[in-house]
Amino acid sequence: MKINSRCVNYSLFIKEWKDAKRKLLPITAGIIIFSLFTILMMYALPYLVPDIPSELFPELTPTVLSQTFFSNANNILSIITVILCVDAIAGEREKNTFTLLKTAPVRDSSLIIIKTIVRFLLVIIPYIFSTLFAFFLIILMAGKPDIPIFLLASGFFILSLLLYVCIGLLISTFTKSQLSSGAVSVLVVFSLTLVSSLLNQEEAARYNFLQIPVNVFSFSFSNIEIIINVLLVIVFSILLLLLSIVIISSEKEPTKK
Amino acid sequence: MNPLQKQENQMIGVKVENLKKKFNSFFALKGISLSINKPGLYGLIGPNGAGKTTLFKCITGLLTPTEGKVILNNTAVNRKLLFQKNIYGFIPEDVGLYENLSARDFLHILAGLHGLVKTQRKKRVKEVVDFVGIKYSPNKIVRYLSTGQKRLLLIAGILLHDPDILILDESLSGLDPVVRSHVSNLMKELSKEKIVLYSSHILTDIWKLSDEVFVLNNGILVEHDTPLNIIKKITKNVYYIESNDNEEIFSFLKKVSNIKKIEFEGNKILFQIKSENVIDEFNEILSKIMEKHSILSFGYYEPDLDQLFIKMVSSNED
Repeated sequence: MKINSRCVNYSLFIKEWKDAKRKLLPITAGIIIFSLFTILMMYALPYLVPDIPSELFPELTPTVLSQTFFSNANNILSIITVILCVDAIAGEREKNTFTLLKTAPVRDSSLIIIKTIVRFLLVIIPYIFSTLFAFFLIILMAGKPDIPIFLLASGFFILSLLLYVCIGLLISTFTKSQLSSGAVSVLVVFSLTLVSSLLNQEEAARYNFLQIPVNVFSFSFSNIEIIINVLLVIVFSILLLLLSIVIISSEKEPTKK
Repeated sequence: MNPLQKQENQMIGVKVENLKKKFNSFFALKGISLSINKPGLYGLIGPNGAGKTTLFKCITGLLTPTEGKVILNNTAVNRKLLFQKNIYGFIPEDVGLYENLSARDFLHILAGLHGLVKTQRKKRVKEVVDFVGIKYSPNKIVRYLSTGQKRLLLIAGILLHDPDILILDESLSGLDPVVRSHVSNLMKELSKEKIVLYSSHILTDIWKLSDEVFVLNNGILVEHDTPLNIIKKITKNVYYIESNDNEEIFSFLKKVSNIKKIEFEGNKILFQIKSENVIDEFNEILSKIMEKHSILSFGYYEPDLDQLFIKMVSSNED
């Protein structure tokens, strides 16, 4: 008997999306508030630490504000993204709903890919809104930023979010509860941030793909360097996805908590 | 109309061959073999830890057996065979539901996950909801449903793809008598065309409902027969006597050569007679006892079901 895979995958997508969209509004609101806070903080700093001479603070140009926004977004959204993904599989195991999926004719690969797509949408939609908000706020406060650079940073940031989604999914496949999944995620993201910060100097910074959204404001990248970085993120994301699929397919006790 | 266009006259059956399942060093199933090849209601009983859930999970492919195999409708169970997942419908004991969905969305999504296309889904959901007897509003959010309502929703959910085999793990427990009776009737109705394999701790239901009963203990299948035959086997030629002089009567009975087994059960002395003419033998024993002792009650032993269960399980442990 042939199973209509399109129908199965569409239903899985709807199921995931119905669950995810409840989180969309609070996440979007939270990230927009975060963007506002990030930019206003730059203006508030001289008043918050009056002991530091004002000439030590950078001039708040559109580039500086854009770089600050992407730097903070990079730090915060990476952890938010991974944490949003930890419930993908571990959460289903914990709530005992994974049995419903494992007893339905759903391919393991479809399961991982659809969960990745939905979680990716869940983070890029708030991200796009918050970036637009930040963009107009920067125009309002300091003037128009360099649009091609701003778009490049945004594009890279979206790609790096895909990588973080894949990291979160992978962690979720081998952990048995959301708590352990969350703990592992925090550890992994901090380790990645640390490694990425250490690599962020000299020539290595040009291929430090997790810091590209920030670095594009500091120095110019050739087209080849941009393509290499894009490919690096895509290849790593695909590898992580494949690893997740292999783990989920080879489990002897998939519904075990 | 069959929503998944099944082949006509397809053989239905569950066959388990020498199934073993080991967790670390512990064998949860120690070589189970069973065969079911016609529709009916099949009860599985056993004490906690007997291996019932493990057996169900092996049958549905949720657990990979250490040894042996499971065959559903003539195909060996293999997790990679997606079509096989539409052969059965499984409700595990502790299954969770998508709590934030409405009952209607839950059923539509489940139907879609089993491959029912959108055009068939609405009609099929309605058929199943009517059959199961879901009376509450379909817009009700799953997390606000009562235990009984959730159970009916799950039963409706596993019927959407019209499986040949239904596996229900403890589906009657935790329900009030009205819902339990309703679910029992549903199971009975479904068993006319499908194999319904279920476990329950409520022995009355198992004995009353099942066409055949499987008794599992310590990972071994200790008994398999119709409920009536099992009762007959265990209580064959067993009589009881109740008296105020139980100790003396017990000592007397121990000396009677035609008595095979003798034991106390509460205030009663149970004994099994091993003779060609059991009734004459019982009358003779009774008259000898009545010469010296007064008797409060006597007769053919009809155990309560809990006692029967304990007997089956303990005789296996011996």
